[in-house]
Amino acid sequence: MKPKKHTHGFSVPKDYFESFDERLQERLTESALPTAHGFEVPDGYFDSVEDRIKVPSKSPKVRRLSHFAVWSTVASAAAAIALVFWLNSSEDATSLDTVPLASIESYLEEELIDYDISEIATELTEAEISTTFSETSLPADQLQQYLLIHVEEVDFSLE
Amino acid sequence: MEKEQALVVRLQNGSDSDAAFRELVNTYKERLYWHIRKMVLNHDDADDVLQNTFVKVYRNIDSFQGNSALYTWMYRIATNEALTFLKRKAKRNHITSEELKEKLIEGLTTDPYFEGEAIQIQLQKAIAQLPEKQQLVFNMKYFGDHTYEELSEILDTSVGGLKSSYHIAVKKVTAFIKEHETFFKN
Repeated sequence: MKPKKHTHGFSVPKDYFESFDERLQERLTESALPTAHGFEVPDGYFDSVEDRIKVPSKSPKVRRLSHFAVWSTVASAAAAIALVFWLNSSEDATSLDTVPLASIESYLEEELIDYDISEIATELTEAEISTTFSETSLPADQLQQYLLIHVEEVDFSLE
Repeated sequence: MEKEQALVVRLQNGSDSDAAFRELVNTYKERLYWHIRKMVLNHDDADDVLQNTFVKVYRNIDSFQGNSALYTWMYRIATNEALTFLKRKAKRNHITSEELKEKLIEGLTTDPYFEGEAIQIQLQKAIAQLPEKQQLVFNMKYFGDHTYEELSEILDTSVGGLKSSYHIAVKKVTAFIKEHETFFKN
């Protein structure tokens, strides 16, 4: 065989030709496998497939917080405060109005550390929560401040 | 030629066909690789086409009747496989074969398995301008070691036709290179 007249610049990876036989053997083995998968579909399946696909709405579904969910959170907080004082008060009950908010918070943190506010809420009926909530007459701004700080853990994310 | 005929007999004869096929692969893998590589340009694609070529040879060896030399038969398979591969690749990329060729040549600048210089890339660009048949003739004659008689068998074209094709191809390639000469001077 005569030597090549011109060089084209192409090269191959190291040991390419030495390892070629092995790779070809794999390809031959693979090519001997059946090409058909054997699965079939009922007659006319693909003609009717569109009709059976329910197209989801384009905009993502936003989970709207129910009025009850908001108020149950608010009521739960208030109920927890009231419940603690009710459980610990004797004949000489202290009015909640006279107790500084910081003290209530501190008490709750120490005494209710193992309680989940939603657990407490489930123990009470809605009527009890409403009554307790109205009886506590907690100032709205303080209640709001409390909720802003503590209710952020509630997951209001989209579903 | 006698050796080749003996190999064909062994390939078509069940008992020794696997060993004969290994021998066939070892004898022709490099020659066929370079033939394919000059057509598809990229190493991975060349490897793919080379494997497909041998798979086809393996599957169809029983139908080889010896009307042509075994190696010309294999060259023909390799040529068809490479052309089909390029057409499919262009189709997959939603581009024409010419656009694909341009893309492949551009890829040479960053190809770790292309050691050519600017002039060789320019030569590839010039070859890409030629019609398919002229590209084949030019590649096989200019870079390869084929005689016109061998090419005539592989490409199923008369020797006179091939000479004419090669002559035209050389002229076109030279003109292209001259036209882009400033590129090399800069």
